Amino acid sequence: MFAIAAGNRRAFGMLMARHLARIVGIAHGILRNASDAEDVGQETFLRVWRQADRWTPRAGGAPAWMRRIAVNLCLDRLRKPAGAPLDSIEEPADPRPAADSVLLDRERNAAVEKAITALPERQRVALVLCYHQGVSNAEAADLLDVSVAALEGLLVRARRTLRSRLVDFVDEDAAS
Amino acid sequence: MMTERRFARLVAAHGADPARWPEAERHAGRDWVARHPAATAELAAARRLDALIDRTAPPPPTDASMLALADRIMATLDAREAAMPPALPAPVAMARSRLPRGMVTTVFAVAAVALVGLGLLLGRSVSLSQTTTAEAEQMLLLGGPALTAGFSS
Repeated sequence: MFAIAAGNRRAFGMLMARHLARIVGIAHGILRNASDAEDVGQETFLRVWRQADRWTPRAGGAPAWMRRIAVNLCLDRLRKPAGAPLDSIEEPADPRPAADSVLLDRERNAAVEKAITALPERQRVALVLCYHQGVSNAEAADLLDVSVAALEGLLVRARRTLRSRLVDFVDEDAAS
Repeated sequence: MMTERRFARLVAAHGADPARWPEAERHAGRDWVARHPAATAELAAARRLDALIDRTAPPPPTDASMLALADRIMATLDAREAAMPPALPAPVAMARSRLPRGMVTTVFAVAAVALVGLGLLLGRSVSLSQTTTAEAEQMLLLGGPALTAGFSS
């Protein structure tokens, strides 16, 4: 990071090679849109380049600092009043023929996707970080500026909401 | 220490997979499941919701898309740096960052006047040091034009 602060582009390129995919993955998980996630990845690294001289070593090092920038950028986007319509949310590409079970899968995925994107932003970020991105509870709490106990509260509320919105699918799985 | 209440909270927050439980409580949580048959049913219910959440995890970005993005970031850096004005000399940049906008002009005007004055003084001393002893004596004796000639050189 000190080399980057001194304007070393080679060091900056190496930092991107190592961490860009992770940052974009986190942003994709939170924003549910690959294009927006790449925009966040770009803005995160441009900020790293501009602000590298302000970085001071702390727990988690530079990767944690970059994840914090990315999560904050994602939260800013989620807080914008005119959010993307739910229709624009990506569904995973599925090359298989559309048999009944496949259609049911798609319907289920769409319902889960819709339920996740409808969560309050901090619950959504907590859920994605801990469940999809494998971020530790302690780091997720740090990224959201809350205690570990408060993070648990966010996760409990997120799961409770998802369970109530997806009750048909949860019960369906229990019956099968 | 694991309690019924704490175990319920653990599962309600982190689901059925012990790998997602806080590391400090993982062992106690597993132990609780082994000793309490009711916990198994609790985990089974949580596991169904876990499965639904897990199925919507977005795929990791491809190497090709990340290479293209890295190129875009470098190109943006180039464009932004090309659009920036040339870097200011360090003292000017430092003054700009530390002084109010109006003060910068005043400080540099005062500094310019001081530098001109210093230049005149140095010019005088240099011209005096370059005069010959005879000329100096003449200047001291006569003053006037001979002395002013030193400033104009």
